[in-house]
Amino acid sequence: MAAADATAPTLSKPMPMARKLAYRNLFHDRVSLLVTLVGIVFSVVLIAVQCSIYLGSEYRIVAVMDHIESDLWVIPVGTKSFDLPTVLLPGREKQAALSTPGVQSAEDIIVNFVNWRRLSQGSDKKGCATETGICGSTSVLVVGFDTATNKNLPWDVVEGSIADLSLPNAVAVDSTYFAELAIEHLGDRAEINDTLVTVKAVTRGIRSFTTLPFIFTSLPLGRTLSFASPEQGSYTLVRVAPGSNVEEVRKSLQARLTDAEVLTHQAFRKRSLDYWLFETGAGSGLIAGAVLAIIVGIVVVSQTLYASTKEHLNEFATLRALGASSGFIRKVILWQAVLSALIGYVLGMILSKIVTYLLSDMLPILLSFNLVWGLLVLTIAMCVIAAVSAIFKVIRIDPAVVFSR
Amino acid sequence: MEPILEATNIVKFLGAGAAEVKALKGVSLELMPGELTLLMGPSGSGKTTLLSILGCILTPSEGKLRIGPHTATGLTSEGLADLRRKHVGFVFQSYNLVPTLTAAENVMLALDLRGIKLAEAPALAEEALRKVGLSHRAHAYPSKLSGGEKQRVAIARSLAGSPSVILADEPTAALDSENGKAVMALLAEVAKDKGRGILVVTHDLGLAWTVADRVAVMYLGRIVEIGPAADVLTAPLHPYTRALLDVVPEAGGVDRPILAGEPPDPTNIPGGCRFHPRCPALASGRAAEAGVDRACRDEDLGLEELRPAHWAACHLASALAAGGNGARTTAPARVADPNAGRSGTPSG
Repeated sequence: MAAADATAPTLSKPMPMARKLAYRNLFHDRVSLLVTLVGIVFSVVLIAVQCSIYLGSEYRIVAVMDHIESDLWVIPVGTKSFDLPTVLLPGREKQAALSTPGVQSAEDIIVNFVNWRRLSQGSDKKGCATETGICGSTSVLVVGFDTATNKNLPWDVVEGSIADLSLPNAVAVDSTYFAELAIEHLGDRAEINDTLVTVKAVTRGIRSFTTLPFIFTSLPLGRTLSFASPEQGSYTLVRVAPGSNVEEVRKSLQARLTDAEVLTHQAFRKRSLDYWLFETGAGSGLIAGAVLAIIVGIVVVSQTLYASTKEHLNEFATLRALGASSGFIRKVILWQAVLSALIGYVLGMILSKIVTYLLSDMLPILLSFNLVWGLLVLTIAMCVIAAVSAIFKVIRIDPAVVFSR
Repeated sequence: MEPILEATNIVKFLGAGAAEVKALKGVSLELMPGELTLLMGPSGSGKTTLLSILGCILTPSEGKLRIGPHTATGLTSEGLADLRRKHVGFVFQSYNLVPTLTAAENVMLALDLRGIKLAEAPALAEEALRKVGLSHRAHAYPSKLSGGEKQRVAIARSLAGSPSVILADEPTAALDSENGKAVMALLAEVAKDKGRGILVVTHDLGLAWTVADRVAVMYLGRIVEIGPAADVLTAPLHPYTRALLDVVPEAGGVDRPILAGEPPDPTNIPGGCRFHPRCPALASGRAAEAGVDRACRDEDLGLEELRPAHWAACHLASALAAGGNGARTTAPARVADPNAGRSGTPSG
């Protein structure tokens, strides 16, 4: 027997056997692996898309708010969201705020639905949104703000400049809405509530959750377009002096303004998000979809993992008979689950990236860095949970069955 | 010399309630280092149950088991797993190699389970495969190996990590005669290691004929005869052993079944000697001639040392031995024999 061993190949350094066994078991049955991966990929894509839409919605709902520096917001009673203004404030809020101890500054901001009438940009009627060349009108959400103090509004300017918003009748629009607004480039004109406005800045990517285009302009023009008096605003932005307690200032200001609500930035932000995401049911639907995807993933993976484990039951019984601890067995199955999760995750994320890219023009969608990594953890957790039934099956196996096979 | 494995008065009940079966009734057995013991018996005699208990896979309902310095009774399933991982190597009838691992990896798996460092595993696996003459097939998957090669890999796996006890469950049953002989020869070779004791369950006395040091014969949950292989196989004391040998050409027997009656049924164990309904000596009147026929039918008896280190549980053999020299030693007395170290104090 020893003669045959002269040409024996040398064995290389091995990987831990639990991992090797998991890897081999996984790739041994390609069909089973394929089914598992389809389940995981389906789940990953569904969760990724649902969560991306949720995050995208969240971003769009509060994007403008988050670019406004304000510690407190004075809003008309019952306002449900930043982008859902009701009535204008009476006009004494700014002064009330300024006379409140702990307030550093206060200013009004206009957020109002107005009518944008499309104009032909030249004699050839070019720029009208309709095929007939008849330029109609559309609702927009005008945001009039103090350009001197709100340096972050608007952002991602790709043409023109924010400074130009101080010019008479100057507005900023987002290139995403060019077709809807019948705008082609800087300098194009439109009419808002009988006032001629000119596009002096173009942004890219500032989109609203409600699909109504944001029109950024100066506070005076915002008031004009909203038929507001020079003292009125939709909301009053209050900045608290350094060292002052925001909550105390809020309470103090609220006591002075009994016919308005005074909210912290976070509270108003949360109210806006809660309204659109939960009161309207949009977010709940997305979350339910994501939860459903997780359940589908767990069920599919646990089914295939269980089936695969059953297929290898004789080997697991042999392992038990050879003295493998339940820890070793658990390790093999968990490695199988984790390997499936990693492969499924990579494939799923590639597909998710493609899907979110294709949907980005139609839906608010944001595949964030945190979501990408969170999904990795979630996918592994999902597969590990799915492995539980398989582990129970194997741990309970009677190793004595090896003698009867 | 101390036995490597010592089972004392092992009782095992299987099933529950009305379906409960006493699969083993007070079996004692010792495995001595450097010794290969054959365990024979018909289906349902309890061989596999005994093997499972000796291998720490099943726990006995009563009795004690010791492997080396370790007591195996009263342990949890994880404790038993730990004991068999460290001290017991198995060779199964159907090889039970992991099909997704190569021959070497199957051996390395056993090494890994026994806690051998990963870096040392390839060399040890290679050595184990070389011992069974298969290191040139180290990278072959089980599907590419012949039955004989698979069983040799299984033996290499059982040797990996040098366990003190190797238990083989009908290792030649799935092999042709030539491969069966090679495997038995290999087990005999392995048995020469003085630090190791081997128990082989087999139906194939023809293959085991020349390699065993001791032979134990089971019938309906008891050992009915045990002794040095040469003695048991050439001059059996129990009629069942004789009946077994009568169908082994290598033992000079004729190739024809000679036992009358129904095969043994562990759910319906007869009173008296368990073998008496099928006993040729009782049927032929030899038992009556010796005056033990009533005892055969009514009295169950344990093993008695009727020859040096050779024990049997048979009224007739006992009577004949008593008539011959009058010296009878009943279990559990220790065997007063120069080779006592290689014999146990078995009880059926």
